[in-house]
Amino acid sequence: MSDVTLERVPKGRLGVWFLIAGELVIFGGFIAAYILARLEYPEFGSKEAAGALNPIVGTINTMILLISNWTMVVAHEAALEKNVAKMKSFMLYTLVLGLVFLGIKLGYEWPADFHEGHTISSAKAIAGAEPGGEVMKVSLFWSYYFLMTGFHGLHIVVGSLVILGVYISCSGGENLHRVELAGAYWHLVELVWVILFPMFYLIK
Amino acid sequence: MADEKDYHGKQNYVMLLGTIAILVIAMVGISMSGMTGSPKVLAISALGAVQFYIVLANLMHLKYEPALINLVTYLSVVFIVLLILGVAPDTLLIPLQITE
Amino acid sequence: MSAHHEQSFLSKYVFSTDHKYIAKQYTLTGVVFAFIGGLFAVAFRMQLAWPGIDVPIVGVLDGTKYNMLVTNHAMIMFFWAAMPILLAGLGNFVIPLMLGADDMAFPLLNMLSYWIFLVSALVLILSFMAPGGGAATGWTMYPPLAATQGVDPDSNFLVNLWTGGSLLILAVALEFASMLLGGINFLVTSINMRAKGMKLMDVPAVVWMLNLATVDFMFSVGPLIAGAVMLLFDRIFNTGFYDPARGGDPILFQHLFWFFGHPEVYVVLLPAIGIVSEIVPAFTRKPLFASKWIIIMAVSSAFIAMIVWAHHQFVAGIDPRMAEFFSITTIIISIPFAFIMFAVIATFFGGQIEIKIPMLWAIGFIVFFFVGGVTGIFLGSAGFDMYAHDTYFVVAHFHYTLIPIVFFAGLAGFYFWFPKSTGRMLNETLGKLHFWTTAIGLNMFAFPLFFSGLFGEHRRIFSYASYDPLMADWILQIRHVATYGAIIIAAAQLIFFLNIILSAMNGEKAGKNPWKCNTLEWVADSPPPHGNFTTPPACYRGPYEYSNPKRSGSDFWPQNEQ
Repeated sequence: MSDVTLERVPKGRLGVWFLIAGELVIFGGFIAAYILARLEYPEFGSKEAAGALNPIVGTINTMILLISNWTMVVAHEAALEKNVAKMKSFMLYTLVLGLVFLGIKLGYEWPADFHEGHTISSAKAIAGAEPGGEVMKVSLFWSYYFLMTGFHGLHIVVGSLVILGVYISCSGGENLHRVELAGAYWHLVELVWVILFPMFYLIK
Repeated sequence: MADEKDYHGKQNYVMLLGTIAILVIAMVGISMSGMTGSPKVLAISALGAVQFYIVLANLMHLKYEPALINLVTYLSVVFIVLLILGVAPDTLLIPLQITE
Repeated sequence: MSAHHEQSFLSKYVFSTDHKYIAKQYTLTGVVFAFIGGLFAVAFRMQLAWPGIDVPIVGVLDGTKYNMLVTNHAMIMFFWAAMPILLAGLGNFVIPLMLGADDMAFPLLNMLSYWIFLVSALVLILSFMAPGGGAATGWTMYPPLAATQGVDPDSNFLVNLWTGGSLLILAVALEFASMLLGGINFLVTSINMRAKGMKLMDVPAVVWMLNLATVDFMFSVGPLIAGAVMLLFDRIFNTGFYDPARGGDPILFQHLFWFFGHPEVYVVLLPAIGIVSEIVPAFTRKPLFASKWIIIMAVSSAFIAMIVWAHHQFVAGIDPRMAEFFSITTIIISIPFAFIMFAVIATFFGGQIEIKIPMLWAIGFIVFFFVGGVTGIFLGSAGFDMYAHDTYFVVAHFHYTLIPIVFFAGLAGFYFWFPKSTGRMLNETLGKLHFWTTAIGLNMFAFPLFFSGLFGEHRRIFSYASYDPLMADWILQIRHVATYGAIIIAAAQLIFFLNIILSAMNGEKAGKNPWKCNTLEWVADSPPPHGNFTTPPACYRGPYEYSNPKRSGSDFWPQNEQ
């Protein structure tokens, strides 16, 4: 821990930390609900549920997001050195990587799941199934999966818009302190994914 | 405004991200290995928690921030854990010993 | 800061980023909705007193309409009256001024917070106009009722979104977003923008309380946002998060709701206590007794508040061992609050008590909140609660806490800071009339309900016609008296509006410091200009140096004077 006093922390950074704490509790709520359901239903780990998620694709996506966090850090370092050109390129790389992440998720993973009949409510799959039975529990898994990865994806969209906004406002070389704040939000997205990825893809 | 370089200390970001990448691969390895049951879940969760900490404390520079900010951020995790502990007996239906 | 350029009408009065205007916007919206929510209550109380009566505007109430009024009365009072008045309105006005700052840390974000709040209020109004009318699920929105009411599983999500229940969830979610963003402003301003020399313990109690309330809100609202989204998805996307047939669990929602719902009551209580903590020293000319310990107790209660929630679920079928745990924590939380109340009362002893209008309301808060607080200890015990749950005993308890909080403390603050905000004094006589009629109304309404509740009169029932014991003469009497009390509370507020109008037209001009207080907001002009202070004040001492012997010739010692 540092000996920086609270009053010395710049306003923007202070505000972003409170935002991050608030967001962590929101995602925490979803995660808590999922953990409770997962502990109750080992069926969530079955072949039709978590077993149907492709860990290799998930890992690739995880690495893409990780690299995008690195490019964002480089952009921030460039901003500190007032190297505006480098800052702008690396913010763009971050945006592109974020889009690739979304593209893989929305363009490949989700359609593959829909094709198997797994949707957020799996309404067709559960028609006529036994109440409280295995089919129902599997459909609950998919409800949680789409809900939470969807919300995470929404935050990638918002984070991308934030980065884009900061990019535009900083292109002349002013307001460079905003790059760090955009980076903090982007790292929040990574933080959440670090929990979601093993929770859905690896714990079966 | 605080001098950000001094305030945040020097870090080797490539090393940090490399560490996280290795932890990810280790996590995936464990998940695809033959391990089963709680040791597997605990191992994966532990690796995830370490990654969470590295991103939070190092990448986001939380460890360089004043104590109150650290407290507020980690408290948010604590409260979620408390929530899970409070709700678990009701959703998991932990058996109650009812004497005749 | 402060390039105080000429501002256009729109940027000065509508899209203002000035914290004082935003405070006025929040407070005005809050007061309007408090009135609407209050009228809903009068409507359903009329049904209870005179079953089958043709209520003006609403008509004769059936079960569903009755439930709609009850649900929205509570929702409105919490989220569109109490929060904007006690948290957003009060906080936006006093925090920068008391800290000696020229505005909030993020003025643009502040303005955005208000507009999101206004949109949430409009979505709420929309919910009344959707097919089927407003939500009729109880403000607690428990599934399965809240997940299925008005929903057609075969329709697409837009049709199901355009229903009272779904729009209410959306409105509440937007309100939460607005308060979260506003709260960030409170915290950063209080940490970062204090006057030179103002240490943490020199910060006035009300600012501490507002920040603690914000932190409690921030930590607890997340799980409810998650839970509410899941409830909304159950409605519009036909998911089964809370449907046991599909593996879901209704009690999960209850927990997620109350994990927030309980800290929420402390989110409104803490600012109320803060207001009273500012007023009592000013009108006894004495320092706030044990002010440092009051803060410490408030911090600990803010923490304990996060671990008492399931006392709302004692009879929901939760694990009895958890019921034990939550009973204990609930009873423990009464300790810090009792300490705070007694410390405030101790401030009176040996003081030169002046019963001006804000002081009268503050005393009213202390006396009536005690009734609510003590009956809360009864209800905190799971054994007693098993009997009293869902009866009017609970209703009486929480109206003896919430009406003192919102009306007595809220109005105390309003009367106290009105001269600073507008430059005019409110009329003392009308104020006293307002106070006594509200006080009479509260006690006529809530006190009898303890007795009918203990006898077994249950909540959320629109007609007791099929329950003979609950149609006994004495209980019917109680229902009448309670209804008259509710009507009196509503009518009393008309005196308040009259007072404001008369003051605006012709009120006595207030100086900078009509109550002779120490805190920094009284240094600015009344009303303060854009930017608040001509020169930023410095702070040399704590806020409660009244009747300090070292200060000759004056019984108060402003924070900014050497």
